[in-house]
Amino acid sequence: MLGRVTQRSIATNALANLQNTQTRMAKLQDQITSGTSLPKGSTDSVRAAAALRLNDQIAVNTENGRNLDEARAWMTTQEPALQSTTNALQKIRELAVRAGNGALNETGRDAIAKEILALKETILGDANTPYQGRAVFAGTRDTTTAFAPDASATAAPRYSSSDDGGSLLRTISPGVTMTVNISGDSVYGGSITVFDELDDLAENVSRGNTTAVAGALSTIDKRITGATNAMAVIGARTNQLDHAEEVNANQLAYLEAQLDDVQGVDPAKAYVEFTQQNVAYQAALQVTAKTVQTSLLDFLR
Amino acid sequence: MSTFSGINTARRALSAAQLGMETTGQNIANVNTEGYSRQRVEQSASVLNQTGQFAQRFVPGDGVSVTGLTRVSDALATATARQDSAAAKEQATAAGIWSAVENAIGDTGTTGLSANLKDLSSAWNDLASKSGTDGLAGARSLVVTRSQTVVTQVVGMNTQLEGQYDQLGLQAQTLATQATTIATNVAKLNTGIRETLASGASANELMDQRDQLLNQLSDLTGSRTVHRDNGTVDVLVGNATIVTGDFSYGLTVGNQVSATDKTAVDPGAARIGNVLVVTIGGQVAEPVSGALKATLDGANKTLADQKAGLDAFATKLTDKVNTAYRGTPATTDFFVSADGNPVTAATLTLGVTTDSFRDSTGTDDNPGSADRFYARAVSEAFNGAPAKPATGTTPARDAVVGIKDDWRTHATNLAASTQSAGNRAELASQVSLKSSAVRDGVSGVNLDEEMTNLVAYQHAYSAAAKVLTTMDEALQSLLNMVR
Repeated sequence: MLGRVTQRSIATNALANLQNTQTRMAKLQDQITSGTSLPKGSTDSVRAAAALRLNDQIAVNTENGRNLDEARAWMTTQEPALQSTTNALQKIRELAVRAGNGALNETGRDAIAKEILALKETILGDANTPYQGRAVFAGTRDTTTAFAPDASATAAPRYSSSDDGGSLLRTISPGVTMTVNISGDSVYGGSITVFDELDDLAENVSRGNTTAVAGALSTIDKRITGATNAMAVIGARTNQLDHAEEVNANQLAYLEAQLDDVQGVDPAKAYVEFTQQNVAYQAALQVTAKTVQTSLLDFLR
Repeated sequence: MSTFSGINTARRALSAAQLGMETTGQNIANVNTEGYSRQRVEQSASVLNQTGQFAQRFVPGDGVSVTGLTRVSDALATATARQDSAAAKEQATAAGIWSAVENAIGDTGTTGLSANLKDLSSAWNDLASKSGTDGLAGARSLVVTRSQTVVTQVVGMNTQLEGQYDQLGLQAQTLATQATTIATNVAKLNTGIRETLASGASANELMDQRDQLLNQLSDLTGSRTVHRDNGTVDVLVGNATIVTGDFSYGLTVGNQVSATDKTAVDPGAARIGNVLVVTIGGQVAEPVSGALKATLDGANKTLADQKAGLDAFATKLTDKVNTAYRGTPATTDFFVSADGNPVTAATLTLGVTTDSFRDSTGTDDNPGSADRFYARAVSEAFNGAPAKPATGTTPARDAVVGIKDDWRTHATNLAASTQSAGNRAELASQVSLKSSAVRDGVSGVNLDEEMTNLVAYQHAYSAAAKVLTTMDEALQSLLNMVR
């Protein structure tokens, strides 16, 4: 302590110390009532830096989460279309086998040809499956139809494809992108489209051209392989999405826990500290009241 | 040794005790006066100086004599307390300036620019994963609106910094005016003290007043005091004299273009980057510490640095978004400068509208424009990406520093600087409290001590009165012998 103590220096020191205790109490009270221990960056710049980083990471994580949802929507839109196409092609193959053995009369062949044409329309519907106002199998184009009959064409190809072969990319984690679309041409297109092939098949069936019908079987097989391959790709991508979604969700939980550690308040701890400060404050008040009041005057008479 | 010398001794004792009681009274009266230094009566035993043939051998002195009225103060303690107080004032002012800057552009991730950057980045990302035409217009317009929000906020933060610069200019003017007034009063007190001391009287109270003013002047400018033999003081701010003897000079604050270009700038036209300077009697003065120094540093350095940081961020935002957005064939820039010069925080503005900006390769006439190539590139420019090693035919990729990272760096630096400014202010105020406690310990009034002194003087007075009565009675007896 100092060499000489006066009433005024006692009062000054007492005031300064009371002020300090009150400041600490106000800080704790602010933490408890606001629910954050980091009202300003300057409260603790190290924690503020962490809070900024975690907030940004959580935002990126949320963005990627939305991208994953979007990618999954692509998968769930394309898969039933491809499944339906595969089923229709298999049905057509069975019909073609029946029509190819030459035992049917004209009425029977016409019925089969009609059924094939009906199934072709189903496949055409699948090929033009829409998502968010565009055809999913049109590559990167936002056209509403991927495959359309060309009314003016008199000979094959009577159908044209709008697929530009482009890949639609979605960012699924920082710096990592994933292709979400299946090329329409790889399933329905080619030098001529599956629709031209089916039109030819239906015509050959109704004409009873068994050689041509038997020859078309290998073409249909190729189409079936194309569709199943595409479904396999979708299956693989769905697995990748499952994995990425799990990682993303885990990471989000981890980041949020971290952020809470950094800027959250532990109410129990804060309350205990507040009580301690309060006790210290009460004691300081009492002692100050005693020391400031007395002087020699009380004892002189 | 005369018959009446005893009475004279008692009289001197009475007046010494009375002066003691009066001084104690003065001390008690000023127990709570700011800057008061306690006074003490200096007294010594008076010796009868007798020589010659009538000298007597055994004679006590002839009482007590008052030799002076001392003002109890310690020059070192006073100087230290003054210096520490100026430092505390400087740090407190600096911390206040940092805190104002933090309020204007600070960020903890939930408030401030980072929240808007996150929203904008998220809008770009949503546009990047917009597959078809459904909701496309909404996604595009969201990007433009949120970009506008970010632009408005950056420009607004710049405006706030400029506003603070103007405020600091006004504050410096006010402080300079205060310092000028104080210097005038110090010079007046110098005159009063010099004249009082020359007449041989006590100038203790005037010196207390002058010390108070010198404390205030030091709190403002960190001024240095030089004592002269005639009781006056000279005061220097840096190397410029502000008070010498009976004369004082005024402080003026002005703006000049830059540290090197001394052309004056009209206060209304001053912008961050111009330099505030203080002159005393026409000579450039550099305050050593105190509120004025902190104000000048705040305007000339803190705000200039923060504005430079904000400008750098605006440039990075513009460059990174434009680079990602420009592509081939090059199109109009997304962010542009309002005045054609390179982009700064003040001139940042949008170069596109909802209709005119593009998110995909190709043109709208040619279907093939739904790959959202540019939207994805901009989204990545915001978020950044980690480095990747080469895999197969894919070449290795360097890490990309995102726009959000750039802002985070700036916000973190600001938080750290503000925090350390606050810590320095707290420390300096503690040091100042201690050193002013030392000064008060020397000069302050202790009531217990004064009461004790009062009782002692009272007893001395009573006893001296008793001596007088006794002398009187003895003399009475002598006179009564004669009839």
